[in-house]
Amino acid sequence: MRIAECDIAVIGAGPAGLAAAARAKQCGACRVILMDRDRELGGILNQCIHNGFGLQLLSQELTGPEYAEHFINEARDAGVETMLDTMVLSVAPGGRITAVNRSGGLMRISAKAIILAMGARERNRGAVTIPGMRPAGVFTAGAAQRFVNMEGYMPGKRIVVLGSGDIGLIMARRLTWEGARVEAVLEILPFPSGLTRNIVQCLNDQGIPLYLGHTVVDVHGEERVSGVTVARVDDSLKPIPGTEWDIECDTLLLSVGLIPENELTRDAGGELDPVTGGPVVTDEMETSVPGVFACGNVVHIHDLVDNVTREAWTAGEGAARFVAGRQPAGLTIRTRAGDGIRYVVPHILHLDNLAARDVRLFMRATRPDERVQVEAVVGDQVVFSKFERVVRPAEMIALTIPRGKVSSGVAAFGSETRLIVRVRPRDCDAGPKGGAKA
Amino acid sequence: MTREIRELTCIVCPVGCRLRAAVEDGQLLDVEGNSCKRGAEYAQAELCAPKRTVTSTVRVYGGFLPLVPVRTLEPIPKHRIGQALIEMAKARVNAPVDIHQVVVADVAGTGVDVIASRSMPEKAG
Repeated sequence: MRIAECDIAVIGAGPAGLAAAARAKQCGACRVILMDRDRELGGILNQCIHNGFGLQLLSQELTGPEYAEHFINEARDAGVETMLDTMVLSVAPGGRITAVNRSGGLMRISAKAIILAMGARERNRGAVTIPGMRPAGVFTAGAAQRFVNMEGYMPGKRIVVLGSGDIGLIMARRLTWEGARVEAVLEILPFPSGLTRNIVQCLNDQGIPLYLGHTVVDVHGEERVSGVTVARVDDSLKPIPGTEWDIECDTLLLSVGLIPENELTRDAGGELDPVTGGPVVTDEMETSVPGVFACGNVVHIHDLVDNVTREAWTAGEGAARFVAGRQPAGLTIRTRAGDGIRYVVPHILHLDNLAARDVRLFMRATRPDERVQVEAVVGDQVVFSKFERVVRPAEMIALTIPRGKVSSGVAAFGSETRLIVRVRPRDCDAGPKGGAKA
Repeated sequence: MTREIRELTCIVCPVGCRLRAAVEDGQLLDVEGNSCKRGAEYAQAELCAPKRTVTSTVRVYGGFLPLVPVRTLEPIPKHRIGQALIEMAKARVNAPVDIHQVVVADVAGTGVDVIASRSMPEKAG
């Protein structure tokens, strides 16, 4: 069996893996190996040919492949080694990776640190349990995206999209531009799950109707999809009898969310967060397994690639520090999602890091809201607070706690203390602070 | 003289204000519902001269993949999108393709070039 040794092995060469590997190398790690099961670097960015990538980080509006190429070049220039067409089979605690590819056969790679960057999988028909026949013509939106944009095949001519996730919205426009007719986009929730700009430019621009509070209750067709039955849903998301109608179509696309792909994380013994579906991580992006780091959609689902890259840089730096034996030591504080917040990443913060650098927290709101304060609270003290004109579950919130805001004095509260992030309506502020401002 | 009220959602920032704009003969008369100046500018551009960056794919001969993704170098007028897509669908390019290589010049008479949005090496072997 072939055996390789390295400082850092990165699993997955999408935006997270590319940026983490490059940053780890730039931070002084010696041998960094980046592995991916696909035939080329870049991950899912290669099929995201639409524009809108890099606005925050590169101040340019790029397409997915351009964003990928930027970071592919950066990884190569940094001296990252790559292994393509390589499937990682297992990650044992202690940094031993078993992988396989055509040229090398079965391989063992020993790494001082590992960065997990496997991304996510799409929820499929089984995951959302749609009743009806089982004809051909039901695809996930991402699979259709790969067919159309990379392989050169159209999945169908008359399309219904279930779910208003960004990939489904993007594909609704893409398929229209390629000559298909998109009959409708259905969203079971009362609000869209994709970004507003995608609702406007992908649906409104093309005249594609969006039905909020609707779902597919039946799929028709023998060999091929011939249509779907849709219905309105009530507050508990149950279809309302009598509201059904049929839409003729030959294809049903599903854009119903992504699930972090954590088989290897479980393998390695990493603790998972049941809300995000990804590993519990520190502010170094280290999982509960020492020396195993994670970043990108494997940790939690992002809506902007810019945030994936930022998170990956933190992971790359953290892994390089681990290899160099310069990890932060000392006390930590756990984060917790408070009122109006569904989850917070990272889960564990080092007091040393909070004192020495700005620490960025990523979170999602539970429900849409306007004019709110997003607050980080320790004990009964608001340590940092930020006004948000609008919060939506579809759009991730970043809260950067400036260094020094959480003093080491919080250690006095004891190990049960949490840094709680919550959403508070601003206009209802009746407390003394609000009164003083008026 | 036709005066009409158009409703649109501003996409300049995540707030997504619902705008109501009064338009007469292609001229914007008034905007309501915007919470900042940029909303009015968005309505002006959107209703008087809407433009979009168009992204699609072009067939490649001898490439590592059968298609190369492309985009317009700049946004083009919305009413030229259909013609631009037809020209992109008809275009062919030989591998290797460099990133940002011009694939269709002056697409749909807009004066804007269509460029490759990635490099595409030749098929191995």
